[in-house]
Amino acid sequence: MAAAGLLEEDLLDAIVMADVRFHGEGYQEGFAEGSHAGITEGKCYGALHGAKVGSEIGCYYGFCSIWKSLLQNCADEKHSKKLKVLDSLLGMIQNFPYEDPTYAKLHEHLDKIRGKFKQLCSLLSVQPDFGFCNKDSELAF
Amino acid sequence: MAWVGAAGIGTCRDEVFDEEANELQVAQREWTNVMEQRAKEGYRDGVDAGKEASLQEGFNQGYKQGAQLMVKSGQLRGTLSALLSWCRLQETGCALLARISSLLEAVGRYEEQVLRRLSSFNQQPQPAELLDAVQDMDLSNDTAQQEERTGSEDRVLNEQAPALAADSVKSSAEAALPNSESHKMTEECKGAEQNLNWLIQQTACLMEQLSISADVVQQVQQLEN
Repeated sequence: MAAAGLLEEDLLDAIVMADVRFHGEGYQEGFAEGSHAGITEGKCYGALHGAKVGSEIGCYYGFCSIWKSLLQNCADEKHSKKLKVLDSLLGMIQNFPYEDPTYAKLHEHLDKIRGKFKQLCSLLSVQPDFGFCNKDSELAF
Repeated sequence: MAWVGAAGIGTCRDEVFDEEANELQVAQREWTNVMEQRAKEGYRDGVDAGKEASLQEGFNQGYKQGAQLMVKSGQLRGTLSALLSWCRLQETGCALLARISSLLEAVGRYEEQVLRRLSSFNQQPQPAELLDAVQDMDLSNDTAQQEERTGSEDRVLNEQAPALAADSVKSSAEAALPNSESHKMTEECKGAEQNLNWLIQQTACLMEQLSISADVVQQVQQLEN
């Protein structure tokens, strides 16, 4: 009797296990497929976000470094305040890990840079034109 | 999922009565169906879990790539924007101002183009989309249009790139390149890179005309690959 009971148990186990096994094998196949799709989809979104941040930060950097050089070549005392703001902004930009999506303070840091940039523009009394073809441009900031 | 079908085979060797055999067949089919169902469920669960697990990783990879790709063109845009605001304050001549503006617009167009390519990077490119992209680039190079693309694609692209940028700066009439869909991603990237380098050279050239000191010009030239 005990032996028969064991056999029955084995059989039941086998049935239950088959269920798990089939689900598991399907799962593995699906997981591989899903991982691939996830990487692809994630890359797409990520690239767009990264491109926007990279372009914006590059733009500020280009703007500031050119203005700094231009003002330095002027050798005018009254530019010292502008140069000070430029230097502090350039420092903020250089310390910004724009390539790192895991940087926790990415938005906070970027907002500070934007604010400082506005301050700089009013100090230089310029309204920068960044050449966006249309206002709805995804790159416009 | 061939292994699902194989699961039921070999369980019915004791065929005493036909009736029993039929019953067994029915049971077998049912079993196979149930197991197939389980495998499908597993597959669906797996796809969801796999996607969820990898989306962030993909995002991070793409983000880095995108940021690196655009920081240089962004810098050129900032440079031109700085020059434009400087020249406006200095009351530089209109012709030079217009030239800076058109270069700035060309950089903007270049960036839009890169962005479009990034968003379709992992999708099958549609000929119509590519045609649109080419039209947006404002190129009208007759020789490139007439050229048969039987030879090296690279050669064609090399000849095209400077003309392409030049035309987009002049914002001349629009024209489409008929064989644009045959471009491959890498070749397109190469062409775009040359395009950016050309814009950098033009900017440096312009700065020299504006008698901006050599060290500033050099700073811009360093952007070139």
